[in-house]
Amino acid sequence: MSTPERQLAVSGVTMRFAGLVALDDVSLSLKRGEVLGVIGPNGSGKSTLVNVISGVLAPTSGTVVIDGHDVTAVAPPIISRHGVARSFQTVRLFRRLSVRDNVAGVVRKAKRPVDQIVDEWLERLGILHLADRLAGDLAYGLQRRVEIARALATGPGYLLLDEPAAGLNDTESADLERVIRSIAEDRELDCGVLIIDHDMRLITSLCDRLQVLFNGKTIAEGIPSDVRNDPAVVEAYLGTRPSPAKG
Amino acid sequence: MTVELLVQQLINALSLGSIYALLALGLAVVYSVLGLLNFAYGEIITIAGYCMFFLVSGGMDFWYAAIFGVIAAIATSLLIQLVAFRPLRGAPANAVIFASFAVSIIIKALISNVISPRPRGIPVPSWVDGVIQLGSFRLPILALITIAIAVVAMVALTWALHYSTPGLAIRAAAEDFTVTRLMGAPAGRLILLAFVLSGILAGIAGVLWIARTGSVSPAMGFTPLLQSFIAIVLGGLGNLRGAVIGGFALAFIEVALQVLLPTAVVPFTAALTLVAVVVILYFRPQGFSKLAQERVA
Amino acid sequence: MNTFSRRRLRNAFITWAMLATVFLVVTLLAEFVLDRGQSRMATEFMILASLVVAIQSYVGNSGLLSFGHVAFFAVGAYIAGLAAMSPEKKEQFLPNLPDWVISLEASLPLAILIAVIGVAIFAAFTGVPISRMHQSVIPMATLALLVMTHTVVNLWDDVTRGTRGLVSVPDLVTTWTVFATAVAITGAALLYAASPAGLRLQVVREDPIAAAALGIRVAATRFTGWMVSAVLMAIGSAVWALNSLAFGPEQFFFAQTFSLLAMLIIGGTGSVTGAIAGTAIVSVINESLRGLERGFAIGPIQVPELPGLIQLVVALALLLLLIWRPAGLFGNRELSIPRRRR
Ligand SMILES: Nc1ncnc2c1ncn2[C@@H]1O[C@H](COP(=O)(O)OP(=O)(O)O)[C@@H](O)[C@H]1O
Ligand SMILES: [Mg+2]
Repeated sequence: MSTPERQLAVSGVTMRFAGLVALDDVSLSLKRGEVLGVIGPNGSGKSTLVNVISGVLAPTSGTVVIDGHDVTAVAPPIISRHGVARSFQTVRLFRRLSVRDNVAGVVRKAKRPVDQIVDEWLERLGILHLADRLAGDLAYGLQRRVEIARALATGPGYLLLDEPAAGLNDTESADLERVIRSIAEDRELDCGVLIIDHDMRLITSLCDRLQVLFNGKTIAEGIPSDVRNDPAVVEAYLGTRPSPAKG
Repeated sequence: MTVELLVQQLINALSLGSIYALLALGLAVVYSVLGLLNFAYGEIITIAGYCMFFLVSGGMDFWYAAIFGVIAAIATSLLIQLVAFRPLRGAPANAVIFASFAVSIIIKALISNVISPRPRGIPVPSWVDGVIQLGSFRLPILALITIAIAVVAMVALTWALHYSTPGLAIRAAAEDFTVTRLMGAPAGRLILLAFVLSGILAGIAGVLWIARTGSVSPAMGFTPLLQSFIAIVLGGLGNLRGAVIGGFALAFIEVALQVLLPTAVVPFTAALTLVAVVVILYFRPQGFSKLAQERVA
Repeated sequence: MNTFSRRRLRNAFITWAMLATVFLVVTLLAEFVLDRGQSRMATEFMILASLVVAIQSYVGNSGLLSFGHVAFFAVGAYIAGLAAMSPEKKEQFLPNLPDWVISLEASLPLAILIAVIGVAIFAAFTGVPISRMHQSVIPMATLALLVMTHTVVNLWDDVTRGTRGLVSVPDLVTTWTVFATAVAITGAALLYAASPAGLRLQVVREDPIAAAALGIRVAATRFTGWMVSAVLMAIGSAVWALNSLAFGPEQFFFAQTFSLLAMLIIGGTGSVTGAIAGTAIVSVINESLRGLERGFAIGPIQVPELPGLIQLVVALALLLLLIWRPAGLFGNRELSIPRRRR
């Protein structure tokens, strides 16, 4: 690759767990500033995909390339340094640390005082007033925001959000949508967003493109309006009742 | 080295390995359910030993006393769970670990004060120390008994883990304890069962250990604790097969060092075994088998 | 420097000033008010507090219980003792030492420096494999480290005099040097906890998997904490050795480990303040039971010597305390100015 393209590229990834194929030859690409939605019924391999990209799992085969660097099966901290940040489907905060320290703890290099940087992220996520509370004490919806603030504080080029709207009420979900959009449109951040969610309204209004997983395979991709009407998708995904349970 | 000597050391390593494997299984069973190591594990063996000591001193046959020793081990294991683990469910790991360490200290201090700080001998039936002469090979009877009992115990355990419902639950926990833990805290019954199983395994291993050493002392539990820990780390955490593999691996390393090292450094064998283990772990941090994949749903 | 949080630094500094004041009061009492015996106890309290704080800087920030710090304690104490011992005494008691060790007669600062270097090397070698292990086995691995170190100290006659221990270690320590040590170690521990490296270790303590996914190198972070803590431990050990004059391997084994960790856990592993408070509490229990342990009479009944009574009482108290307050008395809280209400 002569001029490495600024994108996150997953090609032909297969992930096998003792007999079970969680991902089967999945490819995707995510550009800076783009919002990609990954949808699919529970157990279709969405979280596994995020785990593979972020280095938590090493894929059985296939590659993950970030901005031209092959980072397949590289340790998570190094992948993070290549600009990938993520949230977890089941929120994983540093529970006995303050909200502020949750964010400050992952700031790597700082051109300005770290307190200032942290405050700005908290402000942006609308949780500055909670800065001194213990993260584990917050309500679920607020914990989700801390998780996003924390991911952004690592200075990512690619933000992976695993069901960030699950368990949120309508207002919270609308707020979240605004935040994610502002991140994607922020030229200075220059960050691509991969979002997994079951809320079709949120996904359709937020995403530039959609990719649908089913049983570990990509069964459709394209702009939201096309994907929604794709017969295979209707059959596989929309046909089954989208359940709010965690998968 | 002659073939005869080699075979003898091999049997020695196998019998020591059988004990270590049982010990390691007992520690691993609780570990796989709770994700915590029981620092009072060695005292299960200590109590079994003293129970046998009193019965044998009172005139009971060694092997009858051994049965009571195993029962005492189960009781001790349950007591430890009741005092150190149960009241601290959900507490930070440090607190639970230290509580079990405190229980170990209490048991040792009690034995020192109430009985004696000095070691006491347990007379082992003399036929046990004999050898079977097979051609030019001399096979120590105790080693053969040890291997036989351990094999029976492990077969029984394997059967129970595959064909009984509670056994299956334990096995599921052991195979992938992070998953089991994600599905909520393990049920009280499962924990209880793990401690019973742990007591049985430690009890059997303890009896064989005592038959080998022929004495009891307040601090006798420490070596078994350390060896079982090394074994489960060597074998790869969080799976029971690994504990067995690690137990035998450790015994072979230990016997090999004893045979190969010059006499001057033999007192350092334990320390050198640890160094050997650390070197192995340095190159294979996960031990001989892979750690169950951390699952991050 | 930008990654240092001003806020955390300021809080650490306030706590430090308050704890230093406590040590100052203890020192002044020891110098001007208390009798010789009490003053000696006050000095010992400050040395023990330094050691417990040193342990806290690893255990508290990493959330990993370490039984191995007493191994650092042993290595630091022996190195400092050997470095400071006069050449004549070394000729007399340890004739098989290499000549350059025999000829050395270190001052207090030099003895501390040599102990720090020695312990740091020891900690680096042991810290690399230990930091890479799964967190659930690190406590047991550190226990193994303790046992291995004890075995070597016990058997290495030419250097340690084995079970007979070191004697004729010079007394190079005054109450004021102990004060300075305690204040310095406390300050360093608070500074580390407030630093970006300390915060990262706390982050790893809370969730190593999330921490790694957000760019934190878990093993390296743990290793840093291990080294910081070992260096602090070495300083405390050297001062302890040059205050103790004679010591043997049994002082660096289970009883000592239990006692130091009990102090830490009773106060709460999460804070430096707790470590110091726990040291004070256990010291008081120890002193009040010491008489009983030697045997006593109730009327005509002579109660015999009860070795291990203190341990038993502390262990029981500790179990009860843990059930009542699993995070210890202070939890994660440090001494500080009460926050203004908003
Ligand atoms: N660490 C793991 N070990 C074994 N199986 C796993 C693991 N992680 C995920 N799986 C399995 O892989 C499949 C896909 O899971 P997941 O990626 O979580 O789906 P989704 O996020 O789309 O709901 C499921 O069948 C799940 O049980
Ligand atoms: Mg999922």
